[in-house]
Amino acid sequence: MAADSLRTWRFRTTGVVLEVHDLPLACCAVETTSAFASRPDLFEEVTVPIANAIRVLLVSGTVTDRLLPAVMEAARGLGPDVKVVSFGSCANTGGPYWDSYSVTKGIDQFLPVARYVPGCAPPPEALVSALLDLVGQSS
Amino acid sequence: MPTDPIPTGEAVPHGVIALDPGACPACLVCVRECPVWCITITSHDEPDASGDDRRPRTKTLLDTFEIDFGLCMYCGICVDTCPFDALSWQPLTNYPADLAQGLKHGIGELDGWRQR
Amino acid sequence: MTRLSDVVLQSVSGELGPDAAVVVAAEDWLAALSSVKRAGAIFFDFLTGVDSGTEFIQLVAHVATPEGTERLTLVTQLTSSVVDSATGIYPGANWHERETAEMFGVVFAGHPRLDPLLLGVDFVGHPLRKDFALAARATRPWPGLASDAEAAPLRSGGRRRVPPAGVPATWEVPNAD
Repeated sequence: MAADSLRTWRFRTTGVVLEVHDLPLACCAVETTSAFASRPDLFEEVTVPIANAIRVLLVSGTVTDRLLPAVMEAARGLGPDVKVVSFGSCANTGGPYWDSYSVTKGIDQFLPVARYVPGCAPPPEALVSALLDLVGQSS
Repeated sequence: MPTDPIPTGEAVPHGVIALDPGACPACLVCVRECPVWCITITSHDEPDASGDDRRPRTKTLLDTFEIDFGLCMYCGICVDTCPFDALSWQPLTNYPADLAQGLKHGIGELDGWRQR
Repeated sequence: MTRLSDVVLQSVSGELGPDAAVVVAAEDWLAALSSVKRAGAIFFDFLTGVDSGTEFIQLVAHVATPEGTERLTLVTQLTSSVVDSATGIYPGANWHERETAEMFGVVFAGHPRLDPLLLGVDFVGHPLRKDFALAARATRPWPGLASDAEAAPLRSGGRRRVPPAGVPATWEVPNAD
């Protein structure tokens, strides 16, 4: 999965811009999409890279072992400084599929994760909070 | 690193699960019903001096109660099955962590959420 | 109009099971599928396996007439791990048999390409079989075992341990001694 095929959002707060690449893999995507749509003051969809932005890969949903290479490729495509946000119990630990034969038990086994967002699914506010947290601001 | 949950209004179905430690006799019903095994409890037995029973009795005291919200699927089975109403939903979202371990919350935080 | 179940029962020996499923012998599997297709059930809906704890897997196939006016479930209890592929009768059985092969370990003889469909080529085992141990459950102790209260009677063999819901007894945490 090429990184530039992901939907990308600009998350702008005072002084700091995040380039959020959304990798929506399961039902958590409903919540992330809701977050993007409900906060036009914070999110703006973009199609070209943003200069000097912190790149964020938002892994929201169930990562299966078969899909893992695509997630890794997406992360590689965003460069070594990409911040990975693990959104929801599936991405965090496997969650409901903690004992499954086919689900990766936490994306952090393969990628360094900057922020874990708990929830099944986490509400949209949790994503906003995690991103604010990532840029070092309290909401 | 903020760890306090932020209130998100009343219409949050997947809030946090809070614990009233005083109401929990460590019966383990929630632990055993949890589909993802995300609750761990430790307890110990102490002689129960109350009453004048002829044979010695013991009571079980709760030592630790931990929910791993990294695993939790927010199904609420623990809340529903608790025979002592020690667990409850609270309209808060517990907040992100920079380590997976940071999603585990013990009695202090679980109790604090209840009292908000 | 002849019912599909009657067609099968006229062509091969079998019996009408619960929910109007027709149970046929393993050696009649292809003959049964063949006869219902000739009778008009040209829509192949699905084929899968069922592990009922018996030595070999049960196969289940569901077919229907294209209008959906008639449907039939065919069931057979295999007597070995090999069965003839139904792809010669229903090409649509191709992926279903590949999935049943990887998930249950059934070998479909004559299948044009019995590669794994969903699992990786390096996956070991057949995960939908009951004897497939889930690594996460095998390595993680069940938290429902009380620390002192239940461990002591267990060692003396006086009391049965409570198995977690849905977890086979063989996956329990072994005793310390």
